Amino acid sequence: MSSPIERMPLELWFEVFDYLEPYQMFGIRRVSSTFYNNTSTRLPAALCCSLYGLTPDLWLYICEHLDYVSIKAVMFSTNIFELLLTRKRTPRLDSLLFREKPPSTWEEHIDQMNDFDRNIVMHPIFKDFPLDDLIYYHRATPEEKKDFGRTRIGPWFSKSVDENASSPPLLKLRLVCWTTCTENHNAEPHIIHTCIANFDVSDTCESILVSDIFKAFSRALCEPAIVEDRHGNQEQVAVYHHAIKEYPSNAYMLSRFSIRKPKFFGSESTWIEIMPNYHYI
Amino acid sequence: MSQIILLSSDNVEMKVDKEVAERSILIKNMLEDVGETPDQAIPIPNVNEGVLRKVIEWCEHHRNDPPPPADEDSDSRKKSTDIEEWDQKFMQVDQEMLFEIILAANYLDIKPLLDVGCKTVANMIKGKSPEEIRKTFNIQNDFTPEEEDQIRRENEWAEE
Repeated sequence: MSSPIERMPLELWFEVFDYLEPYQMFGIRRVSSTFYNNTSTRLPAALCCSLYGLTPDLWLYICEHLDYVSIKAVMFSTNIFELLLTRKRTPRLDSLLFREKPPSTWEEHIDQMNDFDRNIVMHPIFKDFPLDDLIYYHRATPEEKKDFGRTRIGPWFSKSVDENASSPPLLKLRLVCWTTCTENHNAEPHIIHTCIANFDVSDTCESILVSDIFKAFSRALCEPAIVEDRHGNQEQVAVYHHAIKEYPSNAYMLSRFSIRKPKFFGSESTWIEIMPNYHYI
Repeated sequence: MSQIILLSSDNVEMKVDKEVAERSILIKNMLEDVGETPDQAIPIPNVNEGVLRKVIEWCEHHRNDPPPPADEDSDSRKKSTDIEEWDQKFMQVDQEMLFEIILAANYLDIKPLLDVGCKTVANMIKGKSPEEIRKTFNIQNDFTPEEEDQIRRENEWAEE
């Protein structure tokens, strides 16, 4: 029997590869030169999508500046992050993730984060981030990591509250992408896109899977949206592509990802930042 | 129910319900172009008798399935490699036949069958090392040791 590489056109192989996780493309590329030579653009594209457009090294750098819980949330949001953060580790990540004494209470976590903040020089773009507002805390140890992969945040309301609610219990996700010049980190950010995604939790009043939030985020970045350039011109493109086009060399795009509590839950409806994502271009 | 005749590449005629044959978009378009049920056999030059019978068997089983949406979101289509039980059994064929079915599904434009075929191959790849993939599909390793080493270094962090 002849080799299936010869029998089946590459376009059909790509149909097959579309069913694989992006990281499995690494293995595919090592199978034969035909696959290797024809996936050189496909692999970065798949990885780019998987890693929200950042290089693995940049993700490591970002995670080094996140707190324990946020890193865990990133790590277990998708296979590719778990792979990245468990295999391509740095001493700093190790010390953050695999510390001997993980915090066991929220207060301990805050204390540790304060120490953490005091002891490192934060990158300017991290300074104003209210990372302590992270709304879910899980006492995860490396052994518990699989459970954490199914981490849920919330719920923010109970059934009794829902029954009296005047509006459907929707949780809103807000994604704000903006750019500013890397030469001046304090420059007023130029918002190029804001998107709101609703999570309908009316049936279950349940919490939300962290991985679902990341998926929504990923979709929002890739979906066409009306975005604005520096001159106020609007066009409908994918946010990420827009940023590449508009800011080819000296800027980064910062995406702030947040969740809005339902209005009926508390007296105020506020946005809570979950985690920052930085898209260098 | 009207029937049509399909002619395989090895000149075997097969009578098929029109409704079943129309699971193939290629045949459906052909019949629409002709405008009426043809008396003569429709040649399927790229598919031999054995493969065409398998394809017809699949179409028979799925004759009442709703047609896939024309602009189906490829992302949602690709998410899962789950295959329903009947299709799993249907795809329990030798590898030669499996690839022939995929090629036929592609040629005849039967997207759901193509998907099942591709999922089957993807499931055969999952969890395997490059060497195991080569062995499974009888693929020759055409890298030099130096090239292999270089590729391994490129993405060392993702290696097992």
